[in-house]
Amino acid sequence: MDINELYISAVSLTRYLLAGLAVLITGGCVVSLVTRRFGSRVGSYLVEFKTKKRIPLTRWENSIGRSPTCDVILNVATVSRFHAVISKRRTGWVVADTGSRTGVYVNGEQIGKPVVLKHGDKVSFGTSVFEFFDVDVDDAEREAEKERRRQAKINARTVARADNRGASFLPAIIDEAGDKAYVIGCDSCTIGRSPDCDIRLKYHSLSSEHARVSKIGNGWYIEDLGSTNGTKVNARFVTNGRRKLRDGDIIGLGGVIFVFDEHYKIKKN
Amino acid sequence: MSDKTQKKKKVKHPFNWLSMLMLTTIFQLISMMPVVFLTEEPNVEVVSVFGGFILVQWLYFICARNFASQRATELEIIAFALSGIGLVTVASVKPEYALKQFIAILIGLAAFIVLVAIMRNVEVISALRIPVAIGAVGLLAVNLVMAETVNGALNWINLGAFSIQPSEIVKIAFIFVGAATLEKLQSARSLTRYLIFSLGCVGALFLMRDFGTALIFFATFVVIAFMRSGDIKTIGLICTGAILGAGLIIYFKPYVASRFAAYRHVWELANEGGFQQTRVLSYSASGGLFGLGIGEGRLRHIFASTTDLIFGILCEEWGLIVGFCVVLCFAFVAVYALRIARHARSTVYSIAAVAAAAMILVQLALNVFGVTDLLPLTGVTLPFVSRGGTSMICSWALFAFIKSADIKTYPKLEKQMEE
Repeated sequence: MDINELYISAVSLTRYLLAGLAVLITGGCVVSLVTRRFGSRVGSYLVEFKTKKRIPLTRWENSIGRSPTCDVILNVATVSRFHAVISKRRTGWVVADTGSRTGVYVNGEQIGKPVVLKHGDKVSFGTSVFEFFDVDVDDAEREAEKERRRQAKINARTVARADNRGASFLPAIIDEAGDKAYVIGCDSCTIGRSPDCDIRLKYHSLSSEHARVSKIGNGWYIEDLGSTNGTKVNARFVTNGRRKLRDGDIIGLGGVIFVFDEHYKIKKN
Repeated sequence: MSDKTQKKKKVKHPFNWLSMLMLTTIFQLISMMPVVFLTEEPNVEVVSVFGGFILVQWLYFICARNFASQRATELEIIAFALSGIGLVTVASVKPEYALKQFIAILIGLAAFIVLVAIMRNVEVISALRIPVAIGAVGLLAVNLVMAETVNGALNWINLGAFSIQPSEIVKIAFIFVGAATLEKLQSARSLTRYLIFSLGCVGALFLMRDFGTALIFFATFVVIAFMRSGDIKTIGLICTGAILGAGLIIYFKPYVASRFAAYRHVWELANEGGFQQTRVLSYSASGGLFGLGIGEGRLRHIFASTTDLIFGILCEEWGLIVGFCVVLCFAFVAVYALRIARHARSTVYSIAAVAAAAMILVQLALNVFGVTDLLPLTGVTLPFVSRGGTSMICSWALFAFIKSADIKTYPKLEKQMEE
């Protein structure tokens, strides 16, 4: 075999090698590109005010509107097709009206220029009302509430153990600090700010008729009476109907925390 | 237990960059051999350029890995592999081209790194938007005044030792300006200013008679307009207007249409308007699956073989498989861009990635289908592979847009966001 022949066979060999390598390289890159997984992080929530449904906002710019191309689709007649954008900026979360017909309202005021949203702000697009929750603030708050609940339980137990003699048992709600107990004296007690209520609580965040605790069968139930700031049991909103109460449940009435004690011992007399 | 940790590891390092880089290097070394031994004595310049290219490639990956903790480097592997194919082909046709092409790759890589760094911060992008737009329009205006007509298109500025093609640089600016929308998202009105900018660019390209690039710009504009406004009606209106406008231009300026006279008639005009296309078709067919071997083809002697017709050379000398792999790489980069756009942290990155992918795909289609007579031959380059400095820089920059959409490109930022 002379050099010329060797050269020719080497050239033909490289042709196959090149094709094979090209397929390998392409295959490797393509498989990696196509199978790559991306995570997305929820930055904030919109909570529908009536149903308490949570809508996560995962991007830095979230378009809101009736159009199916929006990130948050609101199929309500009063919402424009491209209604607003909520975006994350250095200043925080900003809501901007993108030429909607019915406007964007933050805490009841219509916005012209983009407005920075704070945790807990009320945002409305047309007639749909939302609460805005920043995840970072929300997480911190939830941690704090957990800690408060733990503390409240300890306090309530201390009160309950304080005096056992000559006591009768009645259900009661004990406030967070554990130094005040409100006994539920009737089978259907209303709670609220108004003097007409069976249990009168003077907190500003409570509605005049906030909630009702009632006995049905052997169990106790709580229901919300259309309060402004809502009623929570174990950090969950009581939306429609009643929620059964169990001993030690945490009741949130407009942000004020109580512990439900089914067998609260009170002194005779 | 071990299974779990393995799975975790797999997710953390999704791409085995080292083995891919080695495969790519072997591929490049094999393809370089025939070019080096083509002549009686190995050409020193070509050998050093090839060596330099492989060295730069390894340097980039080692630095990216160790100093910038880049975990996903598929895009760069594809870019380097394609650039290597282009470099070898160009050098095999004319050794003098090799150094220029290598310098273009270096500048392209630098542009890639700089652009990825700029794209890190949304505020910076937003601040640069207007200067970049003004600069782009200015460049096109200078081009209209100063440029020389080369091959029927008026888009080269001669700067002594080398000449640049401003329309390629404006491509980068076009996407940059289009993506940099922050507050005025999703309203048809916000499009007005961008529409004026786009009209300026496309109009200037029409005046330069660079219809291929004008078409690329228009297609990219439609993609950006849709992503910004989400409004199909407005875009339908714009498209109808554009088609009408193009029809009017062809009606009143017949010389435009005459440039496309050979389209679908290449075999009738095989030695006139269809000269290049017919050669590409018959020579690439003779290449078969595995090609004739680098340097063995005949298409290399045809005019513009290393720029417009380079896909033909690939098919003839490297074989249909390699040609198909090149196309597949671009297609899947586009698929990747679409996927990442849905998870990008900001709309800016979604728009930039999808627009860049659209630009690459349209250019690829115009080039590949142009030389095979499925579309009119408009004389656009094949990204990364074709000879041409500005085209190479633009291709790298377009990849930078796709790269920056992935949060993993910025490990520090990713950490910050998780905290």
